[in-house]
Amino acid sequence: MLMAEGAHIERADPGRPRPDNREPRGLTHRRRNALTAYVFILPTIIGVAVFMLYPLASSLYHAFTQWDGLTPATWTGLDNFRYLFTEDPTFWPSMKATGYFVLLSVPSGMIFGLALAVLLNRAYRGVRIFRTIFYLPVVLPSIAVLTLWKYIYDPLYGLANQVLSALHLPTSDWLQSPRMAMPAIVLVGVWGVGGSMIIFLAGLQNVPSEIYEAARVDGAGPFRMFFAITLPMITPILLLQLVLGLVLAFQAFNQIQVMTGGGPDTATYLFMYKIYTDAFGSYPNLGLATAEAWILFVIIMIVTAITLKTSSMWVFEENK
Amino acid sequence: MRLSPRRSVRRLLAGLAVAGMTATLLSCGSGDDTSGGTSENPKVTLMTWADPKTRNLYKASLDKFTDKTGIEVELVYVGSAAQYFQKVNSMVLSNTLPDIFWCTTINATFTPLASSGKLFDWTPYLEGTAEGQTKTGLDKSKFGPGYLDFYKVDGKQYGIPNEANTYGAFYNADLFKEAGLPVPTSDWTWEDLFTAIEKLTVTEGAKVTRYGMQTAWGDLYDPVGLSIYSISNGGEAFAPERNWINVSEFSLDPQIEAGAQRWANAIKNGWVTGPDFTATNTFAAFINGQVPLVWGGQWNAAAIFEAKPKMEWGFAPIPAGTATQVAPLESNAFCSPADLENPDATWQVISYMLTDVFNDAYSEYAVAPIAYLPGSEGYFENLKQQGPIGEQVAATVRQELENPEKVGTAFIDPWSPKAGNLIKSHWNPMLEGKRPIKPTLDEYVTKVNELIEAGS
Amino acid sequence: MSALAVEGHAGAHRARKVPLRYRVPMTVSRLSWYALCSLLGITMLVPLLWMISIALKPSSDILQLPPQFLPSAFTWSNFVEGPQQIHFGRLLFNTVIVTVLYVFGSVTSSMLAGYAIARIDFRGRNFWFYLFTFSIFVPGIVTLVPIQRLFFSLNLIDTWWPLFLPAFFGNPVFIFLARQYFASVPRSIDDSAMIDGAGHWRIFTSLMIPLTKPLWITMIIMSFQAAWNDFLNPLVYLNSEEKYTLSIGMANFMGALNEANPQFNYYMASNLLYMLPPLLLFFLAQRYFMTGLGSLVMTGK
Repeated sequence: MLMAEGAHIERADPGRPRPDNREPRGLTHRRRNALTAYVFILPTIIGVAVFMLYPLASSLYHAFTQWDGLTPATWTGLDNFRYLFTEDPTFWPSMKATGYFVLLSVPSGMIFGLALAVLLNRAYRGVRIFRTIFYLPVVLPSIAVLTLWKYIYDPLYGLANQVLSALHLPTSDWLQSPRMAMPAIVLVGVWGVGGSMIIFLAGLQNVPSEIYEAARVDGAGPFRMFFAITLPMITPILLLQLVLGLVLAFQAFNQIQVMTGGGPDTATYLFMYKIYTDAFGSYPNLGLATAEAWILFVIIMIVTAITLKTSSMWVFEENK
Repeated sequence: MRLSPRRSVRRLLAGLAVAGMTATLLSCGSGDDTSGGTSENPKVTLMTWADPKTRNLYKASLDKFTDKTGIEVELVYVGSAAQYFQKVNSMVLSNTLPDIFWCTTINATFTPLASSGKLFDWTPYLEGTAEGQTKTGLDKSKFGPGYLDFYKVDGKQYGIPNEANTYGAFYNADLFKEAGLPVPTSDWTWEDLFTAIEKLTVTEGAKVTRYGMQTAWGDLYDPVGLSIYSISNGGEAFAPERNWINVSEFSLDPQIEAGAQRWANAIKNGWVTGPDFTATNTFAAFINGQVPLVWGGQWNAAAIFEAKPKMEWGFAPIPAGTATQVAPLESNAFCSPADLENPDATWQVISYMLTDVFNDAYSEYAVAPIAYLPGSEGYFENLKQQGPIGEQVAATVRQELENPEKVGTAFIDPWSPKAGNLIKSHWNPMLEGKRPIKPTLDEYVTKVNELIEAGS
Repeated sequence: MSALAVEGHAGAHRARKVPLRYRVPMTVSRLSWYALCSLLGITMLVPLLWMISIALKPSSDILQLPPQFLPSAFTWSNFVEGPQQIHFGRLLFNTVIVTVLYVFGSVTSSMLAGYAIARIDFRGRNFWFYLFTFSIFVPGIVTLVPIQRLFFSLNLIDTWWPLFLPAFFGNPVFIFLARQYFASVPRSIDDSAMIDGAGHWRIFTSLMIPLTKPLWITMIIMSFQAAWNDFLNPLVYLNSEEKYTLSIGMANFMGALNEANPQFNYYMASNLLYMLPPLLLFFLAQRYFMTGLGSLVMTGK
């Protein structure tokens, strides 16, 4: 730890009165430090206990019960999980939709984000204006963006089909089409790619320029330099973006609630939305919903763990 | 260390703190002003999903009631019909339900709420036997047949039926004539419907540029819709209980399979929109003359009249089959929480809604006929004022209401939410041609029977 | 790494490291760069321009087919009549209160916790740090049902409390960022203050807060966005229309548009007003938006 060396200068002679004469009634410096620290983190400790640990325990218990919130929960063992895995006709379609969403949205966000970042990592005049433009959609409230895009996708009055037919390209039913609904939702996310662009830009700007110069002297072209220098140097950022992107993608909700309601059929029935529907949407099936929430939690943990575990194979460690 | 940033930081923090405190106080203040007035006048809260226009009409009529009885009525609205039932659940769980709220058997919440004792039992008030009950002039015998039964659970009346809905096809007569088709009549048949939607469809190459029919309500080819199709062609519904109360067992009639085949074919060819089609602008496009047929409920007529479309249009009933013509049986209702504070005042409001408010409001804006028959006068009066098209719509609505051959529009038994999942996973993919018809229908019947059995 | 982080969040970006090869005169490659960026930029802006155009259209234009890109008449009154449909002022007021409380609560509690964990040597601090960090990975949906029950039993359903109260008890992501940032401030600064007899509270308020301006401004921005955009929580906790926040009010506005006569001009005009506060904040504190998170991430590495 960074602070170890300098922290205890005064410990050498604890008996001496303090310069400000505020002797803390028998508390040693160390104890007083601990006290202060705990006062500082007390709200967070309470928060973690009340808003995380207790709810986690409670929902873990209720995952094994039948519970509608009106009558007391009854213990049903693994029934909820058995129902989900073997009987619930929407569980696997929902898993499929979630997997598809994650596979489409996470890589597209990273690739477009990185591409934009590379494009805008120049010292040209006006580069800041472009950065601002690309970042702008990120600033807008998600409900405002989603309702806007919902109208953009309207087959008759929406902008999307207007533009396509003006360019003599085939139009689509977008959110009404089982095939296009998911890509359409992912596209809205790509519009907000400025967020990851900014983080990539910060990473790119931290790559020392000497390395590029050395490579240039060796006669490396721009592609070589990108794949041999830029990409390896920003792998820590890539990892961070990947983990964040995965965690967020598994919890996507607003898009579905505002734009499709999970349809057509189960085409966009993301698992997070299914949990919400089971818990709050219709008659509350809270036992089932908490079981589903735990399944989602476990999936996220497994995917994150795998990502982090395998990251040593591709993340470039700086030797400090 | 320069001084200025520190100061500005302090000022900022202090400002935030002050703003925070003020807001906390404000939010506390506004948090508990819902507890009602301290005046002697009883106050009844009434929650509706109606649109702003309809709400204002209710309010105007209820104000007259307040003048007469001194009972104040506060209309509550949750902001969106889409979230209505989610809010009802939240209010049930937090014991904050309003005194009266709109409920419907179509939503899966009604039956469990009733059977778990969360709803007020209106039986004695309806019978006129409740202690200290104010006479309201509501006559139990004047409810249309079948509606009260929908809201009875274990013999107790947990909901008082209000709006009775009917379903059919809104048609653009101009487009029919243009295509050389006869305009739908009151006794048109399924054959007529399928011929019409095929001819009315416009394609460009493989792409459909105009569907023959769009659906704004999913009943047409869901299990209920195909049951209707089957009965009208001399077959049986999925279950013998045609109001879907206490369903005993599902079985598959060949007519249902034939119907599924026809609809799957129609969807494949773009004669009709797919089973999960939920465009927001369907009626706007209809008014604009873009859509020849829209399948929907009678309440849409009000908005169409208001938009004054230039074309000739009408509302045709559910088509007849080779054996008979079937009509839908559906109504919404008023429900109240079990711990209702002032049942008598609440009952007076419910009675007044059925006898007066709907007549007043729907004579201005024709939303729905009322299951309590004297309450429908205003609705029909408004349609009459709309001229020949209005009278045609009224005739269709009357025909469906008076048709004794009725089928409920949704499953309402406790297994229905789980069976609803099968629509997403099995039924709709079947209609979209992604699953074979006969095996999927068989699987559907088997799975629903398992659910029925597991529940009993 | 740590020394760099302190002086320099702003500094590092001002003296941007530009590889030599980019400093080239106006050439074909540079021109095509401008062309490409302009094309992409316009593509990004088209949806917004389209929205502004709809917001200015008269009601008669809305259902016109084929739709025109430009309004037939600029109808500025939409910006008055649209918001009136949903009591926009009321929703705005509600949203501002919830947002202010949320921002204040999450920033103060997380700054304190981050400071303590980074700069006070006490038993168990690693334990707490790992616990707080772990909670970043707990999806909100897992805890939502029990927390909703909790607020039911506290009789706080249909109030704003559930929307901002948890913020006063620390935000794990912010604590993580704060801890990284505080750890990068050199020890010598507070050691000398300690010798002068300053306690941690004084060091925190009079030394650290000014030193960590990029940190808490970024936190203010992030929490502002979180509160302003929050949709799921108001959806779950608020029942009365007069308590709704803008996010839910706008979603309802869209959902409740008249089927036969949808007034998308009113909707889009209100939507623009809804976007306005975050946009203003963005243009005021653009530097922190654009570099804040990025540089914090770099510190955290």
